[in-house]
Amino acid sequence: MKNCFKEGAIAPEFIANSIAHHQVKTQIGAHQIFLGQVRNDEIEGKEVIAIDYSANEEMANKVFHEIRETTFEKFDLTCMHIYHSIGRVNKGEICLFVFVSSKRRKEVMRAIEYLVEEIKTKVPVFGKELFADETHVWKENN
Amino acid sequence: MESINRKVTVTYYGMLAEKLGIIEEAIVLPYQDITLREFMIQLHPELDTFTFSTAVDLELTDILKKDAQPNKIDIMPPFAGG
Repeated sequence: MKNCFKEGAIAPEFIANSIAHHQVKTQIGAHQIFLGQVRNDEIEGKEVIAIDYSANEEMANKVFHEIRETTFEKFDLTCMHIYHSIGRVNKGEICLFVFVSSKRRKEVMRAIEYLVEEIKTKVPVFGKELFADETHVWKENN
Repeated sequence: MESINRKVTVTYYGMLAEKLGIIEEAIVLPYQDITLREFMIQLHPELDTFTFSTAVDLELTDILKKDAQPNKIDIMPPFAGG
């Protein structure tokens, strides 16, 4: 089963290279990308400087696989890529990269929204929000 | 029926591992149908104050039948990916 996790932040260069690799797939007419970025929330007067991501990795990769299969069934996509960070990601850095491609724009727009919601609610990833004073709180998706 | 292996590894994640001070432990399940949430709270009463989900062999479920022979139980806090 594919490992969807990448250690640390997802580099902008990695995202750019992913886009470049699709230029040979000339049947594609539309791409849609979602990038999750670590936000510097203020919690009880303290600024979040990073998130330390952990996961139930075996189960998470299984769920990523199931979400991929379901998304391919629901939408007419040519390809799909999902990467999530594991470990520390600083504020302003990318922690989630979801990339879908299709012949038509409406398919990718609908697919990306579905995919991101599925990932946020179903994938067992946990986030420790770190403060500058070395304390932390645990993040929870709304 | 007594030959059924009811020993299983329980893994705790994220906030729950931190609060309990346990990452992994081996337990013996009772020979009866159980609700995992209730069973885990009996084992660790402090869990009662937390929201958590349970998985058996990588499938989310809260029910474990008496004749099940799971390899792995996961106790997980709310998800926070993305």
